[in-house]
Amino acid sequence: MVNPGRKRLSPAHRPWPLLVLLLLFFVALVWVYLVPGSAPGGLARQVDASLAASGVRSRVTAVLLNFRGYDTLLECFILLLGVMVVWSQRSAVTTEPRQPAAGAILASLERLLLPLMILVAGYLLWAGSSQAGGAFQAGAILGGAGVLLLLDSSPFLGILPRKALVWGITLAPLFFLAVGVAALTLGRPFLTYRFQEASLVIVALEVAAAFSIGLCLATLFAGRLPGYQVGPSQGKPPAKRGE
Amino acid sequence: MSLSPASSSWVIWPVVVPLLGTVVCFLYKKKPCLAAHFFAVVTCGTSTVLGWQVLDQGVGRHLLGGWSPPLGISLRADGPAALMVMMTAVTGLGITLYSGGYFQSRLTGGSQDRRFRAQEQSFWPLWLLLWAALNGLFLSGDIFNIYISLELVALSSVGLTALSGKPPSLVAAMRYLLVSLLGSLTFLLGVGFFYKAHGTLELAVVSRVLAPTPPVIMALVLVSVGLMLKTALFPFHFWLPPAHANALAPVSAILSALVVKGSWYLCYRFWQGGGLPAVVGVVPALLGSAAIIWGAFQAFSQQRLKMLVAYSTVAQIGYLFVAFPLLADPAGQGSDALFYFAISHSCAKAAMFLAAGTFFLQMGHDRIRDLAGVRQLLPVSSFAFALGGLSLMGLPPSGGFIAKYLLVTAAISQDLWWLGLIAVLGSGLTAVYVFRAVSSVLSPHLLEEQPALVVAASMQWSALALALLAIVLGIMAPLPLALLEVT
Amino acid sequence: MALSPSLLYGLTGLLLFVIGLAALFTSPQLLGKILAVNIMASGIFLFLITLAHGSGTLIDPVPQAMVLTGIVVSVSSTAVALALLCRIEEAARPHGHLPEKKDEARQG
Repeated sequence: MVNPGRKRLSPAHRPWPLLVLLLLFFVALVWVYLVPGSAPGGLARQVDASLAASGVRSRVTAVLLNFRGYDTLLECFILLLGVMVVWSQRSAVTTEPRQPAAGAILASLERLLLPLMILVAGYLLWAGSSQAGGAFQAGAILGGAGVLLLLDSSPFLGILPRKALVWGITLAPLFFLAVGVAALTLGRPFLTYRFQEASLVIVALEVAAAFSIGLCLATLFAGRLPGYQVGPSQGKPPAKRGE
Repeated sequence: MSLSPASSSWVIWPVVVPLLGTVVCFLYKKKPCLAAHFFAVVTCGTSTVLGWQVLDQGVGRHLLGGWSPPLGISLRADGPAALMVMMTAVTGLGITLYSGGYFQSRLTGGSQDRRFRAQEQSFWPLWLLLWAALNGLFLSGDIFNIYISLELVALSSVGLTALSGKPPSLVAAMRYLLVSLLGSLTFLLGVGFFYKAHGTLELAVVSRVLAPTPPVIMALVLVSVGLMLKTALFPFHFWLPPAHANALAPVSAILSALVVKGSWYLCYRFWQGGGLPAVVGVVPALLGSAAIIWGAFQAFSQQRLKMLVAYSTVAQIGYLFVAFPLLADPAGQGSDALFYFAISHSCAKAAMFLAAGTFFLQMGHDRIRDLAGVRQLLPVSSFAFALGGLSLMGLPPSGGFIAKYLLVTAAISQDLWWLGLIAVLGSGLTAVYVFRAVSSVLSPHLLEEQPALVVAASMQWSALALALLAIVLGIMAPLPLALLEVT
Repeated sequence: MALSPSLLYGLTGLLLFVIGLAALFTSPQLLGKILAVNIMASGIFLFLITLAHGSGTLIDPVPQAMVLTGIVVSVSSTAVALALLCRIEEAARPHGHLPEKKDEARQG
């Protein structure tokens, strides 16, 4: 394994002073953690007081998609950003084709699991409005389904038209922005929903978020722009004017 | 529903517009340059509206989702935040215009064109997202939201750093990413301790240290260390020079002029809340002084122009922390001095990195010794580089002069004369390394053969505009200072 | 003070954070450093979750939402780190080692 920073970044040869320092740091952290203070309690009461107006019954979902919806919007952008950066590293490709590991077993596993995973994702999405579950859990399961497909070297990301893939990835960020800007044009603060429409908007946002998150996760696992071929010129040093 | 009439929509637009631009540039692959210019101009416009509104109407607030804190997240545009948004807008517009010419100039019909086109396609959405994240950082009033914005800034900066694809920049980007993640995780742990101690994530509540209990102190230390790591304050500066110097030309300018200011600004926010004794501020001031001296010496001994400018950033970051002990006196001019350093450094450093990038593209290298004679080929860029250097040195009437003047008067009025001494000493050291670079760039040495000009005119003029702005900031000082009064 | 499960989780979280920190500094390999950062993040998430049980019987959903968001952020940054790592490996492969820049080797 290549290691460019061994000399400077890692004093691996003499770690003891460092470890003692870290131990002291840990003791300080624990001490501070255990100091009995006037615990003000978190925001549980405020959340409960406003839950009725949020449009959902699950408190975590209410926080994620209503009270702190802006955080979730930025989070969708973080996933989009991850995809953008990974794609910008164009030749970050395992050039040798993926080994289809134990084809028969994987194939039957796929047949068995894929429908179940999609079903579970749908259930989690639906359950999210009233209990544990929601867009992220559903998105993670969908992403897992995508990874399973990729493991079988099924090129589903390549078969998908590039346009569809790109639009799918940007679906959640775009939809979030649209909801936010719509509120602004109606003279309300960004990402505000009125009570009557809140449930509907939140469910729609959750579906979009789950879909995009799943697609983003699978894309990140694939780790490259689908359909991009590594040219023979990749190994060459860049020309002088390349800066 | 706790709808508040106090939400002003002009606060949110400087975040929303570049976010929209990101998606559009990501989707519209044919002419991302055109779309990016459009969104950069609109972002600049909305940022100007924000600055004007803050001057006119005072502090603006936007309660996102209509929920007031602590339940919801609020954006708060006061004087310092508006000034930083304006700084990002003006510098960002200059860099955008430069980048348009830069990517155009690199296409020569050669075998590399495909790679360069791909770089340009990735550059625009990353840059607009970085812009949005910075604006979000400056305006945010919620510390967990700040954590997410910090991560957006960090990941997009890393993506931009690695864009050039050459091994040194890849390694630099990797180290940048690891340091950045370490910084944001330390920050996040601090956020956890703040939440445990205060039961809220509101920045205005958290940054006001009323009772320095152990959890609050620990939280403040964790948050400050995390942010200083990200700002590359000495001795955490080791990752900055290779990352800034090896990136593409516009990216170097973005990183040095804007990105380091984001985490520095947050550090200021956490320290300026009040309640901290002046003695505590001595720690960042000492580190800042060390940065000024160390950065200047390193800058002087560099062989490459971009490395010199990058080390100069290490030194200038020192100035951003030197005035921290002066923040304890709210009536003092400490924060005025800090912000004047920030905005004049932003313009001057962007101009210098853009000019250095122009030299590199034209000459194919940036060895200081061999740059003699570049003045004949690129008179406008050379002039821009020299003007930027003048502002860094703090010669009147530049913005850097006003910043140092404010710092020295504030330091003397608060009996911290040694801070003034450091500032003057730093000016001298800056003069030495700036002179070394400028004397090579402006030397009357004649080039043996006149190579054809390959750089676009917009690359030269945008750098000059930023450099002139760094000088003019000294003359139009009342305007930014009036903006800073709004708190 | 009795050792409640929540307290145990909090202490474990802090311990994981420090272990990750130690690994980040001492691991000789980039992959090890990436994993170390992930361990640090997990430690913080565990720590944050215990804040939800801070007072009384009411469970605070805000730290839970924070952790959900944090996990996504951490996934995204890990993906970026791994892509960079692949790229660095790829660039190093023809030579067997990375061409170190002179400027870089001398920086302080």
